[in-house]
Amino acid sequence: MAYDVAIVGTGPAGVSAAWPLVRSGLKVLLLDASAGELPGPPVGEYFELRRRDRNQASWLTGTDFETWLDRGASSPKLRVPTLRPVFDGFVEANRIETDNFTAVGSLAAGGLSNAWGCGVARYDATELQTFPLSPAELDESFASVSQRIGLSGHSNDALRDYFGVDEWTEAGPPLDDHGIHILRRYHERRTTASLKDLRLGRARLALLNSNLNGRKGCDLSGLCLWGCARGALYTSRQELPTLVKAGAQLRKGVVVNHLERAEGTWRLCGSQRETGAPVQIEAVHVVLAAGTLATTAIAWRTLKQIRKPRPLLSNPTAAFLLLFPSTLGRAPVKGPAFGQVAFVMDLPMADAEAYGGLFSSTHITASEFIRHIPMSRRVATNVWRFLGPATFVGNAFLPSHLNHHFAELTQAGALRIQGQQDEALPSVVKSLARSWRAAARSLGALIMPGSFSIGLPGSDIHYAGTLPMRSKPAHGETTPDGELMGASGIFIADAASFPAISSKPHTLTMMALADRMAKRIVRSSS
Amino acid sequence: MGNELQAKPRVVAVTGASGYIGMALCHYLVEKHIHVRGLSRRALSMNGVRHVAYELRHEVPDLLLEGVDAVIHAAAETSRGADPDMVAELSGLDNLLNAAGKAGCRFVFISSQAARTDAPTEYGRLKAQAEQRVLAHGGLVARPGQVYGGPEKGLWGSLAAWARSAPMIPRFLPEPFIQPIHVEDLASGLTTLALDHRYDTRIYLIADPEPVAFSRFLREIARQRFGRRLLRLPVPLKPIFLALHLAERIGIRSGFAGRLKSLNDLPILDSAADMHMLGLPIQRFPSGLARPDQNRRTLLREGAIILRYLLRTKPDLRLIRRYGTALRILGETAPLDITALVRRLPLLLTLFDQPGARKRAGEGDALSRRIDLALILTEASAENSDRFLLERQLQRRFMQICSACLGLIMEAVARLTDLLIGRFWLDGIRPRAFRNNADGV
Repeated sequence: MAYDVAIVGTGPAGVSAAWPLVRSGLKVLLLDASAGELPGPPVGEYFELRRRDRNQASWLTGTDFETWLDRGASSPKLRVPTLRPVFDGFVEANRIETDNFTAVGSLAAGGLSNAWGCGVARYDATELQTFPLSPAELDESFASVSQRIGLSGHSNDALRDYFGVDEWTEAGPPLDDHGIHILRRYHERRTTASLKDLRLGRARLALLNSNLNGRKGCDLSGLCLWGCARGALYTSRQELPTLVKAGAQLRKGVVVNHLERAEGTWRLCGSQRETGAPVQIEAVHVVLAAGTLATTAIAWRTLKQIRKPRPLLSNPTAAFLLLFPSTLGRAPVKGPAFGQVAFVMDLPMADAEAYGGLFSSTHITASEFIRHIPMSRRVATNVWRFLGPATFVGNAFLPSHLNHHFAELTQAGALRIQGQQDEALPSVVKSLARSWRAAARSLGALIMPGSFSIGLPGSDIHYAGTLPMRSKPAHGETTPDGELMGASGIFIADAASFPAISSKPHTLTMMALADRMAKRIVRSSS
Repeated sequence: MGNELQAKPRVVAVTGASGYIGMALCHYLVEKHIHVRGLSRRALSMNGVRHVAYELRHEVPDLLLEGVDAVIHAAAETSRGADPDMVAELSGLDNLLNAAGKAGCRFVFISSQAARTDAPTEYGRLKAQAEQRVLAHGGLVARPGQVYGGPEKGLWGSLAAWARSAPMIPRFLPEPFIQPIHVEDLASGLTTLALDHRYDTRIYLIADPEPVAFSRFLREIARQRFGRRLLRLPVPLKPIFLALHLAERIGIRSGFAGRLKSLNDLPILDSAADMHMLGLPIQRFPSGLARPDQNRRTLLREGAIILRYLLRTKPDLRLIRRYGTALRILGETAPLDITALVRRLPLLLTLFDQPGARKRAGEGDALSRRIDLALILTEASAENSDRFLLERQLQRRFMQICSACLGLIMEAVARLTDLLIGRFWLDGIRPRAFRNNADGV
């Protein structure tokens, strides 16, 4: 009756852990809390649809007007109607309480990867220093995960080593004029003093340029934000049918609350999301891959680790606008909406670096920008129509030590998160803005005055570090193989097990760690 | 009580059934599944109402009240217009009282707030006499306050007409006060008095216990029913009375003087106890002012103004409807109080849409929210995509860029205006949402 392994969550971590387990012939159950299918993304080309689609309101803004009116400084992703079901219900179902913190997670099949910007990179030896394993142990896993999901953006540029994935990466889809221009200018002038802190290159993405496993290559539809109808952008949801074909069992609509020890197995105790009816499932091994917040809540409830606050890692974020004066007055043209250019900016002040991406602004709704322009909406609309096509919008992830978030389990079993940003954060962002202003000038661009803004605590969705892996783990920490101390047989596959995060995108590393962990489980159970 | 009313079909006769109160009363009774015998001079065509010709001045036919449980006397003598023939009214009342006595049915008489034996008008004194006769016959008397709401008829109709078209509102000094009562609430109270035997013969006061200044009453009608914001012009009454008095002395009689005096002399109805007993009010002033389905229309008109402000052209109907739908989804049903000038010149919203003005108005400011909502809706409509995307065609794009430059000049003017008079004047006349009708406050 009992499964060999039950995996909680069908996001990138859960799916990456599932493949080795399923391939080894173990009896694997994949669980998620999804209810129904996600709505289909729009089909066509962005500007064509904007000019012709009379029903565009259904996918562009939807009917959830509150999210548009009461938005804070949060990502436009959270407002996209076709992605709403990705985030809906997560906080309530997992009983998360927050203070000064935006908690985002997913109950959907494929989890947060449905709304992923698809930035991929490989944690290097320095970043893995705090991890209780040698970087070489992950090589095989990085290779198999990368080949499975398909990466693009191969380029002999300044970020080649930073990303460290080019051996498995195909050439990317064409960039737009701004992307081409800024990379060329950077290449020509990279020795200039104002560019010494900046490294610029093509973004490496889990994006297909050519067809793979039934997914179609990017056709520059410009609809990345709304979910790619061609499946060019990776989501782990795409892998579920093939996993099932390979022998995995899939059960939807189950919210796991905690685990109980049964004879020689673990009993997953939870409820049916729709009806609230209790659900119990038994498995020898349990892999928690529900996303850091949900995984943490389940682990702490299982360990009865109540009122013991632990740091919750995440990256502070900033956003800004880059203006290319030479293209002012151009009409918007078909082009990529994915992150085209990636940057790494040294922050001498924080002894760290910031990572970020540059995107075409016109592929995001204008009202996201108009409300930041200090003019009446009428004139701001007019002004943005003129400025927008000549801009890139940039996001930046800052080092996690500038956040001091804490999480703890309340007596009632809720996960309480207290968000706090470091006092130095505003000045670090200011220094980042200063560096960018100087760099932009050398690159033939301008940072739009007043455009640098700090994101809300938690809005990065890069949560990690609550159940960190250590070489000598204490109770509530995890072993180098991801096994939770105090609950042998329970493994942590998502970023909750990261002892540290950098500002670099960490999803691919998380997937590689999950792959490696699953291979260890296979080895130990055979 | 409500159950009792529905227990078995009852018959209520309503005199003056084609009048303002009579008609509302008939509608109410029909809604409560009570059989209605509508007595009026003019023919009635109302579902569920049996019309019987009736003339106050004539004898009452024998069979008029046969099988009737109660008579509600809403008819008034109106043949002489503003100066009614009270003698005829009294004799008509006597006839009806006798007929009711013979038929053995209850009798409810609708009197007036002006009814007093020492009233300044003959009308008030005669109403008081009429009340005495009704009470002597064992009938019940209802003294309503200022009746309002529903179809624009009767005195309410004249006031509404004034509020619809008058350039301003007179604010008499000293200020007269009235006690409003919604016509449907009055109908409910009268029905209870007519059919519930627990109510004895006496005078019942049916009016909001809290008086409202007459000028405020008019202003609220103008605002809530017609979306007009009218200024109140102070009008001292003393010199007017003096002038009218002098005119009377030289032989010019005017009903107006008496009515004005009467308005100023209305006794306060201490109606709290009676209202409570009757389970009233259901609709307190000014919430009952809206016309049925009027809110949505007002919201659509508001949408047209805001969208026009953003688009610089007339918005299409589809977009305006989506504005109305969006507000309904958001649960914001209270229309904005937009002045006539802004309605004619939506461009003026630029002044209230300045970042400084928005900031001063605060987070939950309705106008700011609705402009943002309109912006979102506009962006998501193919018809208006050119407002957000530069045209590919060079000439049209050039025009678009020129319009952005012009916009900046206008913005500078608006910013300067906001700096100069924003705090002192514009904030005070900023369009705000009316109190939500759904709240019933």
